Amino acid sequence: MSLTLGEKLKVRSMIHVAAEPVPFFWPMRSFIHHNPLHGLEDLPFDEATTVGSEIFHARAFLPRSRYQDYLAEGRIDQTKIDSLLEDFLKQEDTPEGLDTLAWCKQMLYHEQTPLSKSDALLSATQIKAALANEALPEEEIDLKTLRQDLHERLLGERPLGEAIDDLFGSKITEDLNELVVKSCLDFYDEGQSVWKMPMREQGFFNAWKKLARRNIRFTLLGLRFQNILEADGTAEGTIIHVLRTLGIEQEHWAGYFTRELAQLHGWSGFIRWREQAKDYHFNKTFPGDLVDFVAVRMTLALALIQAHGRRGLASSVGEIEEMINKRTEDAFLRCEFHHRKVLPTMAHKLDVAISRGNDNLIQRTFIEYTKAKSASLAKQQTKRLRNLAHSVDQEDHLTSLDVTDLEKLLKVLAKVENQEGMFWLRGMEQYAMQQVGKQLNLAPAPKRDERPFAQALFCIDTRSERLRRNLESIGDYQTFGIAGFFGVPVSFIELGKGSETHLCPVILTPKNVVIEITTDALSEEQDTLTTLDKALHGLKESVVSPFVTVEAIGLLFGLEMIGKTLAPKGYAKWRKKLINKEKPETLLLLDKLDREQAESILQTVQRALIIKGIKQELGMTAVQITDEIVQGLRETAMGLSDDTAKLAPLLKIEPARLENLIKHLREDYRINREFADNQMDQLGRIGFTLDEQANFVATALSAIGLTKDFARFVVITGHGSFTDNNPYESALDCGACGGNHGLVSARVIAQMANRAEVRARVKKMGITIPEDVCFIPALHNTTTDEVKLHDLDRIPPSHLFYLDWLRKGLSGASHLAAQERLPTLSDTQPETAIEAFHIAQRNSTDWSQVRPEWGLSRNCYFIIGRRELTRHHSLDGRSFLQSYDYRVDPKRRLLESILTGPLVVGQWINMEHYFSAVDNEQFGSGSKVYHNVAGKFGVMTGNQSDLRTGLPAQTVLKNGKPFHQPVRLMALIEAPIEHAQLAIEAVASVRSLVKNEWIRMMVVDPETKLIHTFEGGTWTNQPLPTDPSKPAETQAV
Amino acid sequence: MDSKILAAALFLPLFPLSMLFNFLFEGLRKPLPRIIVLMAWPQIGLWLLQEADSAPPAWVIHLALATSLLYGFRALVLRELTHWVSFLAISSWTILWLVAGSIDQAQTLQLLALGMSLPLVLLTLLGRQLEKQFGASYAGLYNGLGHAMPRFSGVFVFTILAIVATPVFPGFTAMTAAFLEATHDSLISSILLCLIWLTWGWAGARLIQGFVIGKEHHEEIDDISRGTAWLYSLILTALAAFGIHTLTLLS
Repeated sequence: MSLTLGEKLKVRSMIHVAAEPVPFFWPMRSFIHHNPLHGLEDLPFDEATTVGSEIFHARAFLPRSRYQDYLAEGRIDQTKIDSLLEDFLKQEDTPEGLDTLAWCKQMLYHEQTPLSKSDALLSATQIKAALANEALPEEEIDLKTLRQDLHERLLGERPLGEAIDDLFGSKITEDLNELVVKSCLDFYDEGQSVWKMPMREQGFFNAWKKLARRNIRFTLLGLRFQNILEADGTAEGTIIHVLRTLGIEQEHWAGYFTRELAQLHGWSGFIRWREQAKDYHFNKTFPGDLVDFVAVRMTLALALIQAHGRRGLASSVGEIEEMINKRTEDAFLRCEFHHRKVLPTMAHKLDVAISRGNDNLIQRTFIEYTKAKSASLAKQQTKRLRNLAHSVDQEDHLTSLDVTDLEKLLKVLAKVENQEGMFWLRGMEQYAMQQVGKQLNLAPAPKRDERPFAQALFCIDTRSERLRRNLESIGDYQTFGIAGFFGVPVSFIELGKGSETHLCPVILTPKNVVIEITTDALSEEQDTLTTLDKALHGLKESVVSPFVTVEAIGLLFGLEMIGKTLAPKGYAKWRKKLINKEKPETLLLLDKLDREQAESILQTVQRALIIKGIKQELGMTAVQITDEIVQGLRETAMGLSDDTAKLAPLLKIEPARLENLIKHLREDYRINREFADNQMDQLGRIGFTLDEQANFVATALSAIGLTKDFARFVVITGHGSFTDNNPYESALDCGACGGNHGLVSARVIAQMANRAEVRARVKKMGITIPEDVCFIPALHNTTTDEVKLHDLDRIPPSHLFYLDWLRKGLSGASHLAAQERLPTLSDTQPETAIEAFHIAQRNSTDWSQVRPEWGLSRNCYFIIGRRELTRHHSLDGRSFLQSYDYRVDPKRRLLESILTGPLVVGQWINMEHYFSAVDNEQFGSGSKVYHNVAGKFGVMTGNQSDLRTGLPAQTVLKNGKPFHQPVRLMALIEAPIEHAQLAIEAVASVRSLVKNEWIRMMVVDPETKLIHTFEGGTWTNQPLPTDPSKPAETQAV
Repeated sequence: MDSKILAAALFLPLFPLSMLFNFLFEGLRKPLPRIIVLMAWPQIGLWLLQEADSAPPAWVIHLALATSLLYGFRALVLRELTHWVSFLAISSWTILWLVAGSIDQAQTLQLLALGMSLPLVLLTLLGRQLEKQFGASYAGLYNGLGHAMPRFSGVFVFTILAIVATPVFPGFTAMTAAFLEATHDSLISSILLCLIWLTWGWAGARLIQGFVIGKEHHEEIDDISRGTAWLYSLILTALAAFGIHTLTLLS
């Protein structure tokens, strides 16, 4: 089989489209919170949850009992649900004379078990008879309907392996997932394996197919690949061959791919992310896209299905269709039995009938089973209906209903149960909206006679709220919220590292590079320790060495284990002292380089490399290598001149050896023209022009409304988390910095804002920053709540007197925030703030601590407005706080940029938490206790599983119940309604999120004192609920 | 052949007479008759064996091993608890043919047989609990009981361990005694015993997986009471103590 280019492209595009519902999964080194249903965001939230639940076999809402708990705790607005139910029932055909609303309320608020799903084996007539305590009327099972049901359940877009599993109790899907995971682990490994998969540079499918034929495990499993792989050598051709062999209709291919990809949505999401990350090192070196992944999966699936078929069982769509059509009863019984829907009392009989396969026995069992199941369902349904009727005092009404009305009632109740998740959710959100509404203060900030002692900029992250509130409460501090990259997208190259880290939300791509440099030389001792550390890890990870290592150096690891377990805090301090020397003081290269400077830097780097090369190749010492030699070699290697005749005597080597040295310098040390040009381009990306710097500073300050009355200190606080033995550490870092620590971004903006030239330009833009204002970068450790000031050597001497005061203020706020936070985190109840702070510090260094902090759990609000709006109330660490003053933003540019970046990131974070809380096994990543790092980029449960994509149970659940209350993000903008609406309309992505209700949007209008809410496609408004006794009038705008 | 030995082949059930026991046991619907059968059946067999005028011929011992392996192997695919108990009862009682050659004291032998039957009785009672709760005791239908019924699951796991002759339980003593006897007989007998033991452990693990392991149930399920759990634990502890005691007698 040979495919045309068009056919290949068709398969590729089909897979590309089919993969859209699968969300990206970023490597965990920089964990990115994402919406698991991101690919369905173009649908309204309720529709997307239905589709997503089906694709990912997951739950999109909590079980009813959890919502009932919230209702009992007063966290749900029951009147909202009542009104939603009323509106819903108005559109439904309900039985006459029955208080259906009371039935629905009783069912939702008091019954824990759902009434019952409709079942083909139970009719309203039978329920009616059961209610009247009469024998169930015998109803012949409609085989045509049954056949249709089986067709829908088993065929179409459903992977054939799953259908076979349902019919024959095989484990094709389980085996397939296991084999695919193993293949992915081998190929996508990023350095965890000591023995690497060969031929990876040829691509996933090409490398895999070469090894598959020689894989002993596959042979032992009876998998035969010869014919499958020889049908067409390409990934696309193999996919088509498999689909045709299985008999999948072309119209179902795209849906089929989606379901296959969703089976391992973690791996699919990672590969999907990887294929679009063109600069990702591992993708460039070992290419492997979703087409490869599907090809490997389909090949394995066909081999497994064919192995199953060799036992004489159905193994293609045609054969299954035939079975459904000709042996409908058998197929039905098999599905009941293997899908665990079987009546327990009949399980053994079904087992015997299915395994014997005798037609008469199957017929008899089918009749007996359907009767028994109808009776059991009728009994169950009748009991629940009677209970409901009894609770609403309508037992007589129930028994007097005729079959038509009973059918209506059952239909309405089933519909309510189908939509109850949305009812509960809206009830929870209504309560949350009311709570925040009560806390809003639209009064302007009181006028001040003198400037505040200090102003502090914090990330909008929910964890900053506590710290900000406590800081404001203990002194004359003003705080502001701004996305933690402070509006400056930076590609950062850390000291001693060669790779770039993007410090900005993942939806942005930074253009400018910032390099960290130091005046200190890196100590040799540090190199030695790093090497030793790597050697120890190598010993642990290789195949044979652990047997020897345990005897030889096991004691060392034993001591570490004891230290880390018994005294984590003390041990961490000691270890830091011993091994991790403090990082040297560094500077950030922020200014744009001109051509001369860039060339000079390039020459310096080349000279250093040449010296290293000479030492390495010729064994000469630094003293022996003169400038003349280095210069000559550089120019010769670059092809600028030919100094070989002069260099050979200087280096005291033969011309042939010199030729060899130059060749090495060109090829291994990359001293050549092409690479130099490339480096010059890279150097051109370094730094920002003065105008750019001024622009960033002015924009950041305007965005938060800090345009005048500057304090002496302006603390720019980034944040990060510090924990031990935690693959999810990056999930606790700053989302606005691409899942990294926020200190560098704070240093960048502070360094810019402290420059006189920048301030002069900023002044021209209308913001005067007095000379004595000092911007200090700081890092908020969210695990301990400690705030550490950085770059203190740049503080003018005149300010040093106040520094201690500032430190004390920050330290006090840290302790108070820790005291507020600790009771939810541990069973130990700290009596003092200091004690709480020490416990938090211990958590940070304890390697056995699975929940060092709650992270962004319980996030709920995104408030865009002045600090005064909520300053005097506790938001309990549940709100993203973005400072914004609409008065300084008449053209709505700042608001639009807040909506585009921070709000969207906030929505991703919120949805990640929402879905991880409602179904932690499918959308979350389950318990951390069973996690193992996979390939150095993800985690798996146990030794082999899908990549776990969401948040672990310890982040969103407490004692098995949700700690994070799953509601959609409630965004609140403080601005005139027209101003906010125009801004929302101008940002297409946000407009869609608001209209589809992925974000619940509220606008509080300071001019009219009305709060506007977007719900059900329209804006409604009501007065601010400042006075609880005042009735709220709702009116459509 | 001695008629008492032939009768014993029904009560320490050898194939094909084992089918009669199976038929009888599975026909009993109530737990009490099942318990009585489980307690009394091997005792009658042992009594008949001791009353016989001659030792059983070698082929009977080989048939006993083959029967034990057959039923142990078949138990691997069983999911219904009553059937599982019945098969494991046959598989373990047939071992007593070998044990009888190794232990001379009739009383010790009978107590050992009782020690092997008791875990089966406990499992029958636990099965009854499942039948009340779910309508049937069938592995794989409602797994994940470890979360929903932790006390039940704890007792269930230890009972299975006792049945599959885990060390310290009487079944282990019986297996050890059988090994001692088999080493005098032939290498094949020892290998067969190893296989039997393997099938028991495997069948037990599958049963635990079918009931205890799995996803959490969201609906409310009643666990056994603390008192009941303590009672089961006490019996299992006594069995373990008795197992250790009989093990010392072997040496």
